[in-house]
Formats: sequence, structure tokens, C-alpha cells
Amino acid sequence: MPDKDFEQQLRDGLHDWQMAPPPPVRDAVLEAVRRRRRRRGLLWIPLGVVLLGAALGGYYAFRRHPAERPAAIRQVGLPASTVATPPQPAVPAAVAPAEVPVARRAGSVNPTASPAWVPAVRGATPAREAVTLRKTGADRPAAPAASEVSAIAAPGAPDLLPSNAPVALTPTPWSPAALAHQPLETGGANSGGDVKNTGGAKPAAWSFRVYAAGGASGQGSFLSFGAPAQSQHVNFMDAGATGNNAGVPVTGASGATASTGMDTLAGRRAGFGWTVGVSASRRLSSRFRAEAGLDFTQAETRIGPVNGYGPYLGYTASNQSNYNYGAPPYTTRLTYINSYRLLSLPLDVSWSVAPRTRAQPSVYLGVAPAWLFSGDALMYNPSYSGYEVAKSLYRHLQLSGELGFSATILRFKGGDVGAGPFLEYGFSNLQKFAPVSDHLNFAGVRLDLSLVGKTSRKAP
Amino acid sequence: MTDTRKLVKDCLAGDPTAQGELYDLFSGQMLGVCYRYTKSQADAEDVLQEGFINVFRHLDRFRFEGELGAWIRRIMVNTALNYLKKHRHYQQELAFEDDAMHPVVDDHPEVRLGAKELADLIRQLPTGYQAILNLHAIEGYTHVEIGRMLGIHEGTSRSQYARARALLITWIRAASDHYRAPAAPGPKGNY
Repeated sequence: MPDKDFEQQLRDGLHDWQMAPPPPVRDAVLEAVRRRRRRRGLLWIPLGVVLLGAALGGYYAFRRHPAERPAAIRQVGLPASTVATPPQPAVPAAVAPAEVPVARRAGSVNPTASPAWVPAVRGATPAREAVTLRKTGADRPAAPAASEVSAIAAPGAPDLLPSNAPVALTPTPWSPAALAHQPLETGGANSGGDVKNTGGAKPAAWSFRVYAAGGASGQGSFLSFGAPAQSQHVNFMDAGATGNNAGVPVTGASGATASTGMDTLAGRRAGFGWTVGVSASRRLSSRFRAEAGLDFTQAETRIGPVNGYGPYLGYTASNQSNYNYGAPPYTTRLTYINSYRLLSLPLDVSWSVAPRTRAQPSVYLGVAPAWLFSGDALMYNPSYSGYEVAKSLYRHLQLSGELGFSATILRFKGGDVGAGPFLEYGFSNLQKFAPVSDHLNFAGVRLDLSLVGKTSRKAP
Repeated sequence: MTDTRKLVKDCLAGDPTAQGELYDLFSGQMLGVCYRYTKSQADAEDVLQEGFINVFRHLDRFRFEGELGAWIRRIMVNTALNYLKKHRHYQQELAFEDDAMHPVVDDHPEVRLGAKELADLIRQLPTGYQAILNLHAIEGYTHVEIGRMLGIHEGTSRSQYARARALLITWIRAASDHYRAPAAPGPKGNY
């Protein structure tokens, strides 16, 4: 009869038994660790790309349209004689004076450097009202020579520059020189009217939005709101539990609401999610808008009902020798609610499907980098092969894609209210560690309150 | 004596020397663990490699509340079980059937074999038996825990363990009598 029982002999014989591993395994492990460390640095690249894209998008979206820029040419240090002057058409003396329509968005030239034009311009230009150019010449539809025109607004304004002085004009948008370059409209030769600078109103460039959304949120694969039971059979950590499992101390995080040890042989079900946020959008064209915002999302998902293992803690109890478990002592069944709280920076492009209709339906598509900053979700911890409530197990940086539809349902002065369905899918795994791969799915209805910015300024 | 705290800290700082040192410190023992759970040396080395990558990946979660070796060992065991579940040639034998409780034989023969011979005998058990015997007899997991880890009922774990134990005792006796491993492999295992 042996001194020890069979299991003890096996344990003594094998527990600390060693074998010499081949060197290539060592090299492979250390290389993989080194690569992983390098890759961790590369993970910032997508964020950089997103920020760069946002910056570029912002630049192109918000830069001033050429038509809105001051048009005077900044020419410093050049003698007046070198400044371009509009080629002047040969004007037969016998031809009656005609109105010369001026091309829209004409360029600029120092009027003092073009003496032949100055009197006509000055004499016929009431300040901030209209530009009338009268020249003697044939009645022609348009004078190519008048491609660049500038005018001094105030009649009788003194000559600011001598005719041979270098030109240095940097007008502000409201300076006389710039005002002269507001879009020009011609009444046309047939109408007999003057060339007018009307500066027509444009649609609103900016729009500000406050929105709220609510719907179903779930975790799993794409569009998975009700995933079946996990194939990875792992334990739920008990809230605040401190135990010892096979020599490994295990501490559950405090603050969780799980009150018993549970299994994961339970499905994932959808919970309720909601979002509130603000955004600003800028018109890119008649149909497209770019939008950037900031929102807060709380998404809940449910696991269960799961079997609770009674009043004792799985890990704590596991080390009690000779403990007779008997039949599975399921004494409770409950559903655990995972909560995820995220701060997102949605960047969308919207396309107006029918801009002339009253509802103005539009479709938007975009990405939303987000920071998963808090939650009480159970996360897989590979070290203990169990679920645990621990922030360190979250993948904090999340990237989602969103797609939605919106239509105006109510209009009021200065804004409108829109509503429509949306779908959001998290490209990033919520949990840091394989093999559990859960992505956040969020779908519902979004309600927008849009405040439309003032229409672009009226030209003088 | 190696300062575990410093070693872990250096590893977390990305010091390759410390990482190599940690690997050298535990790799021999962990290969022994992996060897017992798999059917071939190559598979054992695969598990060892994967397991150590997991160790380094999750090293920041080691809380110094227990022995580092025990923590690494647990990761190795989990890695080995996941490896068995993942690879097809192991999957079939991991399909446990709910079984009537096998009568437990209170038999405690004296084991006179060396560790390598003993490990080789265990490897000849069918994969399911092998995993459960390793988990219960050597690692010290309870059947409830084994049930959760393998996704089987606790009773199944008990009965499978009883069968594995009986089979192993028979082989150990034969091997001890003849100072050699049994010629025939286990009832199913043939890798």
C-alpha cells in the first residue's frame, strides 16, 4: 500500500516536471512579443489617419469659396507700369457709347494704373449700389477686355496712389475694393440696363444640430442583437469576490451587480441604448454636407438568463477540498445587464436625396471614433478564463461606422426637426482579448433639431 | 533568487533580456505541462509558444498576489484547452457524452515510473480523458470547474475521470511490471 494516494503521486511526479524546449520556440516567442510591441505603436496610425482626414475634410469644407475671397491682387513693390491692366478694345470713335457687361467675379486692377478706365468707373459708381461702366464702343455682348475690373466705391474719392506707385491692395471683404468684386450681374445689353452688383443670397452654409437617439443595442457580430450562447465556456466572476483558484488569487472588481457565480451558457440579448449629441454641418455642394459632432452614448446589452451558483462563490468554493457539489446547485437565474458608455466624435457626410422637396430626405454615412470610458460590462479575462468587471479589459478606443436616414417632419423659423432610422456598428472589438469577439450594434430612431445658420451675407 | 517583481516590471517595459529571462525561467516546466495535454511534441511546442505569447500579452494583469509560475501555468492550461478545441483532430475526441456515473475504484497503486514515462502514458489516453485527468489529478481543478472549462456537465467530468483513472492505473501496473509502456495505445487515441 503506497503512502500517498494515486492522485498525489501523479501530482508529485508531474507537477514540476520539466522538458527542454527547443531554441526556435524561444526565438519565435520573443520575436512575436517584439512585433506586438511595434504593432501597438502602429495602432495609432488609424487614429492619425482619421484626424488627418478630418482636418483635410474640415479645410476643404470650411475654406472660403474663391467667390467669397477678396479679389484684389496683392502686388507689393512693383511699379505701376508692371501691373496688369486690362487690354482695352479698340473703340471706333463713331460708335455710340454702349454698356459693357462685365464678367462675373472679375479680377482686380488698380484703377489708378489704368487712367483710361478711371473716369468712367468713378463717375458711374455709386457706393455699394451698382457698378456701371460706360464706354464708347460698339454694342457688343460682352467685352473680354473687361475681365478685370476694380472700382473705388466712394465717388470723388481722392487718388490714393500715384499713377506710378507700386500697388499694395489687401482689401478686407468689406473694403471698397473687395465690394467691387462681389458677384456681378448684368442686365444684358438687350435690357438696356446697367451692370449690377447684386450679390445674390445663397443657401445657408452652416447648420447646427442637437440630436437624441434611442433604440436597441446588442453585442456580437454584425447586426447581431441576440447572439446565442457563447461557445467559450468561462466563468463569471462574482462581484467583489476574492478567491483562490489552483493557487492563483482571483479578485473580482467591486461595484458590479452580479451577486453570484454564474456560467455563460446563456444567450446575449439586446438592451436599450440612447445617445445625445451636438453637431455642426457645412454645405459642400447643393446636395452634400459634411458634419462633425460630439455625442454621448449609453448602450446596454443583456446576458442571460444565466444560472447562478447559489450563495457560494465559484472560485472560493472550488478550493475547498472534499466539497460535494452534487447536482448543479443552480439556485438563481438572472439576467446581467452590461452597460457601455462612450464619447464619440461622429464624422458624417450626408447626401440630400431630394433637396427641393419639403421633407428634404437625406442619407448620411460616416465613422465615429469613440472612447469607451466607462461601464459595468462583464469582460473576458483570459488570465482567469472568466468574466470580470474591469475597465482594464475594455478596448477603450472604439471605431464605429454609422448609416442613417433623416427627413424633415417639422419646420419653423430658423430651423427644422428631422427624424429617421439609423444603424451603428462597432468595427472594434469591445473586449481586448480573444477568443471573445463582441462588437457593439446599435440601431434605432434619431431625432434632430437643426438650427440653420443665416444665409450668406447680402452683397452691398 | 530571481526578483519576480523586477522581472515582470522589466518585461512590461519591453526589455528583451528580461523577457528572455522570464521565458528561460518557466519554459521548461511549461513545456512539461503542454506535453501532457497534447499528443505530439510539435503540438506541445505550438501550445508553449502560443501560451507564452499570451503570457507576455497579459503580463500587465499579473497582480503579484500569487506566484508568477502558477499564473503562467494557468494561462498555459487554458491555452492548451483552447488549442484542443480549435484543432480538428482533437475536437472529435473532446465531444463528451453524458455518461452514467462510473463506479469509482478506490485503488491507489504505487507509481514507480519516471515522469516522462508517466506523461507518455497519460498522452495515450483519449483526448477527453487526458484533459480531464490532467485538470483534476495534476492541476487540482474540481469537476465543477472542469465542467465549466470544457462546457460539460460536472457528472460527465466525474465519470470520464473515473474511466481515465482506471485505464491509467491498468497501464501503470502493466508498465511497472514489465518496465515498459503498454504496446497498445488507448482505446481511441492514436496520434
